[in-house]
Amino acid sequence: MHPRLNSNTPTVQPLPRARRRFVFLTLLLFFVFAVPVFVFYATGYRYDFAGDGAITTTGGLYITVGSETGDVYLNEEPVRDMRVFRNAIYIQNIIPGMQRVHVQAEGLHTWVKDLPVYPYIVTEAESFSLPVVPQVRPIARFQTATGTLVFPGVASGTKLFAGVSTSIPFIIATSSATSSYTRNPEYDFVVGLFATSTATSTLLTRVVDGVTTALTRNQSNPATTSASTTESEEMATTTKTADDLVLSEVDGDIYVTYVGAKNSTPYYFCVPKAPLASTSAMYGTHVMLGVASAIASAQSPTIDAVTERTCRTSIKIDRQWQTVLDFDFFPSTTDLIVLHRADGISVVEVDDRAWQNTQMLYTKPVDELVINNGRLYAKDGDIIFELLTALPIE
Amino acid sequence: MEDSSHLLPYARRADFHVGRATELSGKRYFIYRVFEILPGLASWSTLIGVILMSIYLPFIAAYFIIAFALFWVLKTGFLSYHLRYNWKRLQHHIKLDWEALVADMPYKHLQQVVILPFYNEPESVIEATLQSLGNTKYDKHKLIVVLASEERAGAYAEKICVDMTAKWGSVFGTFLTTVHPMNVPGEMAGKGSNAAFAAEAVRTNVLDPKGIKYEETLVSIFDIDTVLYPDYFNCLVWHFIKAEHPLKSSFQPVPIFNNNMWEAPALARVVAMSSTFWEMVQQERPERMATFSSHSVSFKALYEVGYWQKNMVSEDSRIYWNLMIANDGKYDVIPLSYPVSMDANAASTLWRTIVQIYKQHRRWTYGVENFCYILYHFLNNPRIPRRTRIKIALQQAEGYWSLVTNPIMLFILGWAPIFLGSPEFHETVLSYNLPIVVRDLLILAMFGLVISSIISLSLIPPRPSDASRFRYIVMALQWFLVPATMIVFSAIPGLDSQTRLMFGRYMGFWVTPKVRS
Repeated sequence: MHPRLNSNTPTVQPLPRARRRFVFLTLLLFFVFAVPVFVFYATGYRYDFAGDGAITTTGGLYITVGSETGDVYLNEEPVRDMRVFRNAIYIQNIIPGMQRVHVQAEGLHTWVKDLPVYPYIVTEAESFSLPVVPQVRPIARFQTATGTLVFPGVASGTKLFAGVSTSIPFIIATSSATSSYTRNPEYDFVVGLFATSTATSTLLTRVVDGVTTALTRNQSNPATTSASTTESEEMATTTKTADDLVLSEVDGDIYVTYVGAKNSTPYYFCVPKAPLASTSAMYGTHVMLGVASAIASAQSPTIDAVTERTCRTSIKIDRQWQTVLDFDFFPSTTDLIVLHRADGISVVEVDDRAWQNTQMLYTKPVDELVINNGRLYAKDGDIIFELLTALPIE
Repeated sequence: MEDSSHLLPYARRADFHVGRATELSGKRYFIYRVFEILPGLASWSTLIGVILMSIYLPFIAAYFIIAFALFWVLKTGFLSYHLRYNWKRLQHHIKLDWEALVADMPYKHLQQVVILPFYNEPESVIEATLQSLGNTKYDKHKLIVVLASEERAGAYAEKICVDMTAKWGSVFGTFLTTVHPMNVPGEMAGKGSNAAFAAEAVRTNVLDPKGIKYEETLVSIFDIDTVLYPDYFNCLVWHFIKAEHPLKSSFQPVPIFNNNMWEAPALARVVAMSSTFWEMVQQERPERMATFSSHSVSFKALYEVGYWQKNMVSEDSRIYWNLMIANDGKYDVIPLSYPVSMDANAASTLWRTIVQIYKQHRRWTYGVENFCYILYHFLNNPRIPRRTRIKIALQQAEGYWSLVTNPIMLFILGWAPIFLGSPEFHETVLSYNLPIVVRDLLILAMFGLVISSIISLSLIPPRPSDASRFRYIVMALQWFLVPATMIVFSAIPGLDSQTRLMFGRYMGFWVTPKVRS
């Protein structure tokens, strides 16, 4: 406070120049010292207060989480220092090396991944967590006047939807009489969907049974780029395409192949440029083999000169030794694959670093599966239902 | 041929009152045109440069943005320090008994000329201004009040003059009305030409006939919505007498845009109070000041430079540069740290308020035309110390550049490397930390707004009986609008003005409509 402010004399002089200069120089000095500190901090350098006081380099993890209520663990320890975005978390200050990440929430499958963290680099991953107990929404042929679903003609003692959970009320009637009910238009619609998908399923079954694949490729890199015209036509019936990713079947195995621009390659196709032994240690032998094959391949350059990454073009999807009857991309993402397997319906992540997380969406065999407009419909005999991928909101 | 013998030597130059490049020819035209292009070019180059850097050198851009955000935090703190100090000084000056302070001073010989230019503002606004003049604690017989109307305002202005003369003619020593003719060659319709016409009318009709000395006459020019505090003239006299070079000084009060604070929407309040705060900050660093809006100056000084310029928009600050350059750099602005109240820019609807504020600020930021004028005359008047010229040129350049670029760089382009950077950049810790660090720094800078909020609450008029106490909370929280108002009502109109000047699309004077309920 200026001394004369308290007197009855007008304080004519503005803030003394000497004091202004002092404040200015102090702030300038602070700026000069603080800028490098902030820049180094933002780049990933940290001062080790707890240890020997050395300056260390750190990296980060950016995990997309499907569930908003999930807990995140890093190397079995709950993560508290993280920035939460709308559907992702950013964990910083991580010492470089292999890190095990858990994402878990009550009632949902736990997602676990070993991920390498590099200095100054953020490793990305997308977790997913499906309900442990399959969630279904029955779709009956008939409904009452008030809209309640009715399953007529069901033998006494029969338990529909055993072992799964549903929040939709329905009536089981032993009588086959349906005159007092109205037809459920959704049932007819979904039946229509199954009718149109039959051809693909039939062909796929033939393929699984050993029909010669349409693609020309080597075993470890089943690229589709050399397919002939005839082969392409056939391929069109055995593949699914979305966002520059092609999902195809080869000898009973399912592959995801990236066919888009090199600089837009999804992160899980690529690994930092490093010796193969190092890649194997970090990501697993299967990744190393894919990378080695990509490097050896003369068909297309796979090393991104800008980002110093080596990118594969194809990733094999883990079917857990089960026969795959059908497959497709998970609704609204190309990072997950839905497999209609002989033992049920599973969802597998494409990201094969360390391993691929597989979560069962439905744990019993079904006859058919169809995905339409972001919804998964299954047919088991006469019973049709929708498979829900999240727990009901309470 | 107009007599120019009364003018200072430098002010006799034909190009002394140059308003734009097109008024010059040959090499002078070229130089002035370059100066007109310079501010816009610098601002656009900066903004485009940040975008290009974000695309091609994202790491460098990220480092720059972090440094810039930190600079902003410190700058906010630095300015808040000045603001807080001036607030204390302002409060102190409001409480002082200036009448008692000047009682023993030899000031009875001083005459006060008050020029009130108006166009078509409501009668109630003019009435309130004259009422506040009548309420001042000063000998009213020493006041020469000039109600300066415009011929282009027609019968309405005529009627106002007649009505106000009838009501106030006998209250003041002299009450003069003038009608500034329209379509005078070489003039721009606006406040400057009207005020200059009124000042000359005062000289020929009042000062000379009555033998009043120019050096003993103080001229105060007020916007028509200016409401004076009671001790304004006593405060002015005190500063005039105490000044080291009273005839080589202008006197700048603090314009508080709060007359209609309880009626104006939050947006208008924030913008208005931000302008007040800027002037308060400037009061604490007078070496950077130019006159703004309402101000006072000796008649002699005005006469020596031919009054306010008639051919440009921002005559209020240009008069200072005229005086400073004509006096070879030996001219000051003395901050009064005493308030005058004016209207916040508000219209009948929110949208019209937004449009009005934008246009008003575009006019204000068109003050960048002064930058060309300064540089041009700094080149031509070597009698101004070189150090002074360089310092002022750099200060002004930084001011106009930062006005336009800083808000846009901070609140919009700060995120550019994240969206425009290469894949290599996107996978780095720096890319992920950039928005976090910048956001945290800006939040820190927002603490400066807390000071703004507190100070603004102390400057608002008493709450009307029909206004809810809840409005106080709104007025405290309204400062969160600042990032948006900085861009919409500072950076963009500033860029608009500089771009117009850059392309030679010169602006005319836009009269801010005054509305009071």
